[in-house]
Amino acid sequence: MNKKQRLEAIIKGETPDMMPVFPFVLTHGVYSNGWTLPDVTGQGWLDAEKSAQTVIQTVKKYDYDFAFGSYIDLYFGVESLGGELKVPDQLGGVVGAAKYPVETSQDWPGVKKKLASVFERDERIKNTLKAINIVTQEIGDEVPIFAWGMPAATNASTLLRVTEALCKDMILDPDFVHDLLDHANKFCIEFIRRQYDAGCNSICFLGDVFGTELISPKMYEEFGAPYVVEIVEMVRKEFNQDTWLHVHGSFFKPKAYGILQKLVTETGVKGLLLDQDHSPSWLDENIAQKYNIPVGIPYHCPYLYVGPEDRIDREMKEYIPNCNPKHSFMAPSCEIPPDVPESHFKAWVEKTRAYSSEFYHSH
Amino acid sequence: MADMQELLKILKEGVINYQIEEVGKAAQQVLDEGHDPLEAVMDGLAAGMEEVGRLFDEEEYFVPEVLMCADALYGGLDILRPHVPKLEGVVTGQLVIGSVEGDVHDIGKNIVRMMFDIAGWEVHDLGRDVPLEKFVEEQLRTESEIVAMSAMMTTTMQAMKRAIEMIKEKNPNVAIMLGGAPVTKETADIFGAEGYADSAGNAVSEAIKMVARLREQHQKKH
Repeated sequence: MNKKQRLEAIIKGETPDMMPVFPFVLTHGVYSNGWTLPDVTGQGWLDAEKSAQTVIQTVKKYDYDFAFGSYIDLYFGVESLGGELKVPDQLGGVVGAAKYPVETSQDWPGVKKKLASVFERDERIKNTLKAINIVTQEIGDEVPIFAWGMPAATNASTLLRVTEALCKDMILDPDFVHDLLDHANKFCIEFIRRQYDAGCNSICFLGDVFGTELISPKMYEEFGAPYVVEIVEMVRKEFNQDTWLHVHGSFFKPKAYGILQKLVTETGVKGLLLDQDHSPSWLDENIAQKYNIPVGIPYHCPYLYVGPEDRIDREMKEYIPNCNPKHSFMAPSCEIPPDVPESHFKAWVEKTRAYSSEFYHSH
Repeated sequence: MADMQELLKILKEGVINYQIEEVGKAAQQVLDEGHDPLEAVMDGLAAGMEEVGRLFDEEEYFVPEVLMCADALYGGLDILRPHVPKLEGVVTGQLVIGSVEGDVHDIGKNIVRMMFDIAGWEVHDLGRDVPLEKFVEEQLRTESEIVAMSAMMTTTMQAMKRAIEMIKEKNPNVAIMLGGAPVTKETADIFGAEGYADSAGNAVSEAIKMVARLREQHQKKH
């Protein structure tokens, strides 16, 4: 099987030849190429060619199955709305926001106006779309290239307003929050749309930190799920692709689990990646078997960073037989840490393939 | 003149229901009317926060509610704390706390900080997105027994390992505590930290144990 067939298999609920690996590479690709972040991006600029190479070279080096179409951080658009980026130059750092555009509610009307033209003005976004075009032309025939985005609250907490303030706003001024979220979600939808137009050819993958780690299931019903629906529907309607969701939090208790049920049965999410607290057997029983959708097997990120290889080997050997062959893909519990050593990354991909291949053939 | 029991009830319920103004007024009334500020902190504000902790553990409250409760708590604590005498016989210490470089999330760190404030520790809060060398400098400047670091992102938690190495190089006798969503006990061990707090609730008790161990080691050496 090739990588696209492997993806197709787990979407259809068929057993692939081996478990596909989706390493969720964001900043890691920069360091993996021997660069630091200021070599690739900065306030108001991004090098499209280098952004593309962060993907192309890591796919070649590690031979994993699904990729994003460019270098990604979480702060695209911030500086065009009046915020400031922080781009660390030391190994292992990630881009952050030194200043958010909406520090008080009085800032919002002005920021809202700027949002209307952000895609025409923002150089980091424009060059990211160029990078996607380069990537899909070079490796898009063999590799599923995912679009990505952050639904409303998560996007608002990186693009517009710091998380702590946004959390308090949810209690103090929910109308203001909904206005922020409406616009943040529209931004997300447009960014996804442009990524497909630039060449992304596969799943839309959403990252949501506003799961039960931050807000209650009830709040998620108000500030989370309705916005996910909008994204899922656009992606299905305009590009005929499925949307997968990476959502943080603990989903064991009934109310929280209800959110997952709702996401799958009502919002139309077609794949899930939870965090490391959810074991392969729990995921099999509560998601894969129940809903017949792809589910990420979350390997705890720091273990990839600290290794060593024999530990990764041992754990993959233990993990794989507890996974559902028809629906599982291997993934880190969140973004792969930026400075994971090459040998650990390789061991993780190779051991996943070796043990899953053995296990799947015995089924 | 208000009855102290009545004021304690206002302080406690004000924290639970995040009534910032009411808590501030009641705290001022405690002082104006000559009541015991320590009793107001412990049986009013801290008792309220204890109930908030229970609601959080039972998943009735989540981060937004706890942040609001914290604002109410500080509304009272800032007024009362300058008037609270130093406690005799209670294990406290000094602590440097911050979210590591690259991490702009400090919700968890602020909640932990609040628990140490209530417990009477001297807290040196470096804020969020703290350059690693700043942890080293602040620990040396304040001679704090504990350095507590938090990270909410898996990407930024790697910085903790480097920070621990830098701190230990300058002062091997300091104890490090880690916390944050992606951090586990095992990660803390691997990174070389002495302590790990899986919640704000146990951060203080963990720190007290760490300080006790440090002092024991210090006494053995001398």
